[in-house]
Amino acid sequence: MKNSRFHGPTRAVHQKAAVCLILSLAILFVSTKTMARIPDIFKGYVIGGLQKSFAAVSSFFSRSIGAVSQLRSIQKDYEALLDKMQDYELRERDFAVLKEENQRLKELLDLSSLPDTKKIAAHVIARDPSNTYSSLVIDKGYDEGIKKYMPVIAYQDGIEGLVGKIIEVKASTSVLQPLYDQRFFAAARLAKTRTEGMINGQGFRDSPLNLLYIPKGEMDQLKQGDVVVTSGLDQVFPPEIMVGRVGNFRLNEFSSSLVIDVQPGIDLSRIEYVFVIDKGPSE
Amino acid sequence: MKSILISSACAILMLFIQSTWLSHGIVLGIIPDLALSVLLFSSFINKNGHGIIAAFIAGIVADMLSASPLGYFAFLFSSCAYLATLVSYVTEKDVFVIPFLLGTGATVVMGFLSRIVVLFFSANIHAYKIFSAEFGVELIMNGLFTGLIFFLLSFVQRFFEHGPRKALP
Repeated sequence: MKNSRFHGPTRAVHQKAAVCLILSLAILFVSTKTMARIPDIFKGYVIGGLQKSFAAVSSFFSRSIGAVSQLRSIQKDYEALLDKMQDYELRERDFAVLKEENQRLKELLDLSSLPDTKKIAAHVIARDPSNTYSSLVIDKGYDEGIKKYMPVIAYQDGIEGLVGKIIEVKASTSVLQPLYDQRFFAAARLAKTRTEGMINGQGFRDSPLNLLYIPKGEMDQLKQGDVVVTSGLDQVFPPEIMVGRVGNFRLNEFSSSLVIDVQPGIDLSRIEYVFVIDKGPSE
Repeated sequence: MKSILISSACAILMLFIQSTWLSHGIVLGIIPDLALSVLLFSSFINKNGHGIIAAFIAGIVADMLSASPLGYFAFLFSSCAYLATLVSYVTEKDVFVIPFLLGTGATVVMGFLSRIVVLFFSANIHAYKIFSAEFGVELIMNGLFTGLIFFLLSFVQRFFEHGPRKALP
């Protein structure tokens, strides 16, 4: 130990570091040109399988611990439920009437904006291990018909909202780029005025999205809470999917467009299930 | 060879934990870089450079798990491991200060190197946002967790060391 303090690092250490660094850069050079250098079978089955296993272990423990704590609250819940039971008996009468009314309204409003598309349900099993990238991993891959650049949506609190798009497909898992990723771009428009712009993430889940290229002339008509939807002009995302609501916005003196913050319609921090949209064979 | 295998296996295990169990982050959704902490430990105690090789292997696996292009984390981890190996020649390991400084220092190095990498390889490479609050949180978190990892791994240090010293007769 003392000798090493006096002599400093040996030549071999520098050589090892140089080899590793040069090799990394060489790989980076190749991979940025062509991403698909790793055999799909290894990435798909081994890496995907390991992620699934870790997610399963996590799920098992959280369920077991949850079950124990639930037992304690069951007694309290039981008593509370008896009280509520009486209340529900009264509400049940109204329910049948409301159900019929809801069905009629749905038909009238045509709430599903994507009636002719196939939706593949998937479970979010992992996220990117780093903070610079923000990808999510879902448990469906090309075995289930997932393809690159398929749009991904989710339902939350009665809202159908945009989540992102598929950027990498493996055998049994896929990687999706969420809309808050700093390299995410989607053609979007203000639902009220139909003004077209482009939505872009800032890289962090809790940061708002940016709506770019909305002209300054829209300043007077723009209000906080205005809905932003996809325009469909990018040929990736179907039109009229909710992206979010306008938050803060301001005028930039040196630019021809407004600076608009958009709060995503879907809370991606508590997302568990998503739907991948299969638009079918492109014409 | 043993130290490389154990160090890289432990770092890879941490990567899987980061992507699944810690996927929601701890503060502001930020995930501590436990794999980096393990690699810093291995590089610090192995003055012969075995930690750098382990960092390269773990970096390649990190690139497979992440949406980053292959070679990105291999380069960043190898650079940080090289730095830790060099630091080990000028200072001794202590309980908290050195691991904390190594963790924060390595995060800063990764931040700056990622900005440089973006300049040369622009295709789909993300860089750390060095002046964001999130980066500050990550900096502190990596420092604290590196201290914790150094403390925990010191109990099993002999598994991570290349040719551990034998007791004198």
